[in-house]
Amino acid sequence: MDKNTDIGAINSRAQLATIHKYLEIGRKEGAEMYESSCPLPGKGFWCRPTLFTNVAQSNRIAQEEIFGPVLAILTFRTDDEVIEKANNSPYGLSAGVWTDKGSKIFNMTKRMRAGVVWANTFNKFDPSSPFGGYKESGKRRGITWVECVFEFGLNLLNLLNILNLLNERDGQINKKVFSHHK
Amino acid sequence: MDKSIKKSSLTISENGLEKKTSGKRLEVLKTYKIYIGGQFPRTESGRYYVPVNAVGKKLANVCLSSRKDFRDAVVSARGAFSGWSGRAAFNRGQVLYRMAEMLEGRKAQFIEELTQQDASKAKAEKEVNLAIDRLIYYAGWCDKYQQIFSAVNPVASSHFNFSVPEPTGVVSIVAPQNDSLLGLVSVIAPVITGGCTCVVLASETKPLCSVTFSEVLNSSDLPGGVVNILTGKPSELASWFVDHMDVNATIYCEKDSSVKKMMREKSALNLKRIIFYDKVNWYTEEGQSPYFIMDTQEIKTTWHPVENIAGAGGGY
Amino acid sequence: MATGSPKIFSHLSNGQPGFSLSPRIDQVGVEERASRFTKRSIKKESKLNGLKLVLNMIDLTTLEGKDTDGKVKQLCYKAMHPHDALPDIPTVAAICVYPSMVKIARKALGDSGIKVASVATAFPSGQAPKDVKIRDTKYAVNEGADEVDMVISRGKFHSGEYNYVFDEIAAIKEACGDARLKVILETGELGTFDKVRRASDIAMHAGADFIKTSTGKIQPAATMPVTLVMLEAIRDFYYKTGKMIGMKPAGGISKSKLALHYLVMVKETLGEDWLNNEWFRFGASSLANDVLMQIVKEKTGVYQAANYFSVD
Repeated sequence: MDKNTDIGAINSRAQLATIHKYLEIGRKEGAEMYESSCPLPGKGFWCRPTLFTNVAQSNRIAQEEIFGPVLAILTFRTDDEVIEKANNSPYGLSAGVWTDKGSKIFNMTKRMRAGVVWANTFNKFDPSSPFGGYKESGKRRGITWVECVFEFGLNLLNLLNILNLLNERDGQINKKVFSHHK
Repeated sequence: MDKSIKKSSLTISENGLEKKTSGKRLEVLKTYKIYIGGQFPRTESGRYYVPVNAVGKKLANVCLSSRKDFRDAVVSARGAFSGWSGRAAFNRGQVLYRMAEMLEGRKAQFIEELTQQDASKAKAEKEVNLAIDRLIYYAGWCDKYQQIFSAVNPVASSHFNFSVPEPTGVVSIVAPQNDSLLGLVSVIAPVITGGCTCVVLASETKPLCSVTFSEVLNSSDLPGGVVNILTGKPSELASWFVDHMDVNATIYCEKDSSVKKMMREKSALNLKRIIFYDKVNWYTEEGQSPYFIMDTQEIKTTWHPVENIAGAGGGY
Repeated sequence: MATGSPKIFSHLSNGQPGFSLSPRIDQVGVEERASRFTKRSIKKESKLNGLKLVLNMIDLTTLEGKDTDGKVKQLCYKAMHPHDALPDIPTVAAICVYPSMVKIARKALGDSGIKVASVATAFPSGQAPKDVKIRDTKYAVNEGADEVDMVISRGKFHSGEYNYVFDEIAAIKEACGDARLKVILETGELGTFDKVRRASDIAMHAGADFIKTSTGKIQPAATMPVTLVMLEAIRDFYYKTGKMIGMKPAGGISKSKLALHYLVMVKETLGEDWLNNEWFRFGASSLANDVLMQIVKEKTGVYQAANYFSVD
């Protein structure tokens, strides 16, 4: 991919259709949509970077995962409110917080129920850093991946979790100081 | 006139009531109730069962908890989670230590109950002693496991990156059937050490100690709702234990393969973590380990930028 | 009622406070009666229908000093789409906000059919001159409120100035125009059931379309016994005048089970005619999500977690 690329193409026609479906839902739900005016290449599955404002927690574009270059922006008034909203989800893979004060950042990151929290940065990865989620995004860490595959077969959701698991195991803390029962 | 009354001429008992000539005193039997949110309610279902020991002696009337008792218990456990996990780790250690102290104080009663449930005197004593020691063991871990299992990760970019274990939330536990006190303590202790709260189904056949243990919990400084103990049948309740969407993890301690299969299947639907302790011997060293704490922990990794002041370079 | 004496209306004739003839309430009896409504068993299909009815009777409320346009818009969206994952569920009855937020809510709700209710008359204390209260009311109505939730002057009520209270309600009713008027008694500040009954009678005679227990700012708020006292006042008023009055318990009803108990009480006290959101409302904010959780529980057989339901 060209080094100058910020946002690439969507991986399939089907996924592009899904994204467009959500853009339509977002509009219908009364959210305000902002779209980049950038030109799109003629060939391939492209979607402009898109923002939604005036979104409520109960909007589908806030509840469901779009998997596209689409950001739904929700507003909040107090720290407690933003934490409540951030945690108001069955998932908990990753989260991000942008704010000024160090002590506030760590208060926020501590209260967020997510496996990875980026503070004043986003979407950073490193082989030495564990990656895995809380709640439904983090099922069954700690069992061997072989066991996991046998147990769940080809259930795609779980397959995703297995991938997470593999990642995790690479980065997982491995202090075998104590004898374990397994 | 002689006003003195000879004691021996009266048939008055010590408490002033007339003594019946025959019969012994009718013993007051303890009612075994369940423990939810720091209270001792009877089961909402109004159902009871009577476990018997090996020689056929009826042990007690014990609550046969329903799924609604479980539901109520989960509400209590969820309510208690924020406060308990938010406590200082050192304070949680103090509370666990207090639990051990209270258990020590009621040792005789536990030994008595264990012997009623077919244990020999020596074995009962050993089980109670080990249960106390196990609480002390985990009391010590409360403010230590997080340091041991945390890490600062050496990422390549200019970020401070660290990972810390945090409690997963509400844990439902089907406790071991046989080691009705030691097993119970051994599964509860690591869960609450890590800041989780739990709903526990005690041994069906040997429930006496579990109910008395909840009295121990209630008289120690453990906040109501952190540990909730139900009595009843795993065959009836186990599926609810793993079905409930507001339970983050389920621990199962028996070998029943059909239950394990059911749990695997149901947990695949709601993506709940399930943990099997069916091969653990609670009497040995393998029955205690900080890894038991880690079974109900999540790992949170935080990334924070590290500013590289112009001209200062990155080295020492 | 103890008597059908027209004295009750005669507050202007001799300057004496009226409404002294409202019946006395047997507190112990009321509490016993109210507790009996909690013993009914409602299962399966009836429960599901009951839950949907409850959802449809909710006045989804935000009455905070920190309310913003954004917050109100989000709440309005929640009102229209309580839980998109569930088909065939009703919307709530209304959104309840401060007068300054009425316009925002009106616009956000569009043609959804959901009503905008506004508190007015120096809510929650009611400590303002009558003309200020009237302007407050007119403002809310002009901004587009379909319903006005006023508070009575509890201070005047306790001073025995029942006529003042009566006249004030009547004046607000006039200022409401076509908007329906809910009169909040703030039962937590009235003290006794006798006073609750008297305040209910005053409000209904003065023109209330609804009587409502509480502002939600004072404890105790709505309870089943106090609601029963008011329901019985409504029933007596209906027998006497043929006019239906609505009822709105508010504050402290956050669980579906309790809400279903209330419906039982309404049905057994006033009858089925009152079992719709034209005549019965719940003033609540967290009740909606609990109802949704129970509906999903009924449909899936699995107990639910709060994380799966949006907080707005």
